[in-house]
Amino acid sequence: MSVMKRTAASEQPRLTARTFLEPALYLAPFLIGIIIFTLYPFVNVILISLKENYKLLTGEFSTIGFKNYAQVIQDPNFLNGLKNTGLYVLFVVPISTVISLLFANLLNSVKKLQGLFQTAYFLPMVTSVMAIGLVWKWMFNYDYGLINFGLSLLGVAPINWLNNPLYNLTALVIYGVWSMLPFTIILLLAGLQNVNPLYYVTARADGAKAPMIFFRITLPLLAPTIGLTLIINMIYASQVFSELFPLFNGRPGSAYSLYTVVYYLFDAFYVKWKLGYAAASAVILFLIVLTLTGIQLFIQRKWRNY
Amino acid sequence: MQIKIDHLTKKFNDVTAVDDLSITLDSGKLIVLLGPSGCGKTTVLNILSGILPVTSGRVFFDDKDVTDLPPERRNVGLVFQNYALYPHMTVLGNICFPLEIKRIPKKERLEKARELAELVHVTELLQRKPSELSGGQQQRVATARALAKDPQLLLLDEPLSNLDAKLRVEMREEILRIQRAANITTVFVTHDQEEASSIADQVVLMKQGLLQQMDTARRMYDEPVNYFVADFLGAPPINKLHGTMQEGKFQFRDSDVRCEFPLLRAVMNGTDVILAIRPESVIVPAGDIKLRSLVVERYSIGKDELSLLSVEGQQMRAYISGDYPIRIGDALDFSLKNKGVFLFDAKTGERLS
Repeated sequence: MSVMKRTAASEQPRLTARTFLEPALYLAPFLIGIIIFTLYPFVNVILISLKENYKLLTGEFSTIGFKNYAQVIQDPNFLNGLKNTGLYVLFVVPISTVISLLFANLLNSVKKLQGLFQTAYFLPMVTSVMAIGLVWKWMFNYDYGLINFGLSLLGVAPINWLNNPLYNLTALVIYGVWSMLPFTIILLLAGLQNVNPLYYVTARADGAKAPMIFFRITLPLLAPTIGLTLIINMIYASQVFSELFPLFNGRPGSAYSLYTVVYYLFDAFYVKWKLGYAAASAVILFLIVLTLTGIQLFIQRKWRNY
Repeated sequence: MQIKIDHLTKKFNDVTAVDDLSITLDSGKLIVLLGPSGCGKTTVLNILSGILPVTSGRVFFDDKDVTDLPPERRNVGLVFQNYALYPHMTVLGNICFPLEIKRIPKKERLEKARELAELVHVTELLQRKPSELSGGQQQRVATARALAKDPQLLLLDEPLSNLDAKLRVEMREEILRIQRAANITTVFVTHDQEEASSIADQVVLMKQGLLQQMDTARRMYDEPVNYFVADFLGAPPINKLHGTMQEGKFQFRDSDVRCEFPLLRAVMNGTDVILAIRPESVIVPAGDIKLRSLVVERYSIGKDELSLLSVEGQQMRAYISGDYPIRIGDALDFSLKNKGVFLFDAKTGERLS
C-alpha cells in the first residue's frame, strides 16, 4: 500500500519552491539568452510595426495602428520584393533539393575517400558568402566569365547576366541554388546513411533495378529528411539578401528591379529610416513563411506513413 | 535444387573467412550452417546469394555454374536477422514487392501474396505496417516475402536471433513447417547448436573458415570427428577431463587412476589428452569398471537432476536420476556408457577413441 502511494506521488511531484527553483536554475542560462536575443526582439518588432512614425532613438511615435502595413503593401518596391522572393524560393528550393538528392546519392555510393568528398562538398558552407559571391560575379562576367565561355562552346550567344535586368533573377537563382547545395547534400546524405543497407540487398536480390530501388525504397524512406530540408531551405531562401550584394554591387539588381523582401526591409531601415515599414515587412514575411511551413508540415504528416 | 560448393575460398584482405570448402547440399533439404561467430558461415550464405564474390572455387546450382552470376539472376530468397521489411509498405506491399519487380500483373500478385500469407499465418495482418507487428510476425512476413518469387533456394541468416527464447522455439518449428510445405532447398545460418539440432536435415559445422563436420545433428552429436565438434554440440557442454596416455590407458592429471578405452589408433605414451564425457553418459549404480567421485552440488533443471561431481580433482556435470539417493558431500561411484564418451588429443583435437 505504502509502495503504491509512493509511486503515485513520484509520478506527479508537487510543485514546491525546491521542485520549481532547481530546474528553473538549470534552465536559466539558456532561457535568459532566448528571452533577450529572440523573444524580446520578436515581440518588439511586432510592436514597432504597429507604431506610426516610430523614432528609434527617442522611442516616440504618433499612434498605434495598421497604417505601416497599409503603406507597405501598397509600396511597389515591396510588392516587387515579394514577387522576386517568391520566384526565388519557388525555383531555388526545389532545384537545389533535386540536385542535392542526386549528389547525396552519388556520395553515398562512393566507397573510397567518402570523407574527403563530404568535406569538399561541405567547404562552401564555411566560406564567406561575400568571397564566394565575388567569385560568382566574375563567373557571370559578360566578357570574361566562365559561364558565358561555357555557353559559347555550346554555340549560345553571351548573356549579360548581371547588367541586363531581364537576367538578374536568373543569375541570382543560379547562385542561390549553388549556395544551397552543401547544406542540403549533407542533410540528405545523413538521411541516406540512416537507411538500412539490407533493404537494398534484398531488393537487388529480388531483381530490382536502380531507378526502382530509388523511387520505391530510397525516396519514401528519405521523405522525412526531404521534408525537413525543404522547410529549412524555404525559410532560408525567403530571407534572400546577402546574395544580392556581391553580385550587384549592393544594389537590388542592375536596375533596382530585383528587390527582395529582406532587401526592402534593409532599405527601409538603413536607407529610408522608416522603422515601421521595416518591421511591418518583417512581420508580413514571417506570417507568410509561417503559413507555408504549416502547410508543408501538414502535407508531410499525410505523406509520412510508417 | 541441389547445391554444390567446390573448393570455395573467400579472403577479406589477409583474413581467410572460408578456407577450401567443398560440400554438397541435397535438394529440398533444410541445411544448417553452424559455428561460432567469425567461422565464415554467413560468408558462405552471402556467396550462395551472390552478394559476395568468391576468391576461388565454384558454386553450382544443380549443374549450372552460378559463381559469377549476380544475386538477381540466382533466384534466391533472403531473410535477414532483422528481417529488413520495407517500413513504408504494408505487409501485403512487402510480400508483393518481389513480384512487382518481376512485373507480374496485379491480380496474380495479390493472389500469390494471399496464398503465402496463408502459408505463414499472417492473413489477418496484410494491411498492417511492419512497425505494427511483433518480432515473430515480422519473421513470418519476411519469410513470405522471400518465398514470393518462387526461389529455388531460401537463405536464412540467423532468422531467429532477434526473438525471445520461447518464440524462438515456436518459430523454428514454423520455419521447418513452411520449408516442408514449400519443399524448397533451404540454408539456415545460426550459432545456436540447439536450434541447429532441432530443425536441420544436415548440419554443416564450421570453425575459422574450415569445415569441421557435415552430418545429421544426431550423428554429429554421437560421433563427433574432433574435440571442437564434441564441445560445440550439447548443452550443458560435454565434460572435459584432462590427463595423459600411459601404456594405452587414460591417466587422470595429478593422479594415478587409469582407465582403458578402445583406441582408434596407437597413441604415444605421455600424450596430453582430454577425456570427454556427455553428462548423460554416466551410469549409477556403477558396474565393474568404475570411477570414484565426490558430489559437489546438485541442481534441478526441469525434469532433470544435474549433479556436479569431482573426479580426481576435476569437475564434471552428470545427469543422475533424482530417484538415486545421493547428497552433497557423498562419495559416488559411477561407470561410463559406451556412447557419448570420447578421447581427444589435447593439442590437435583429433579423436582417439
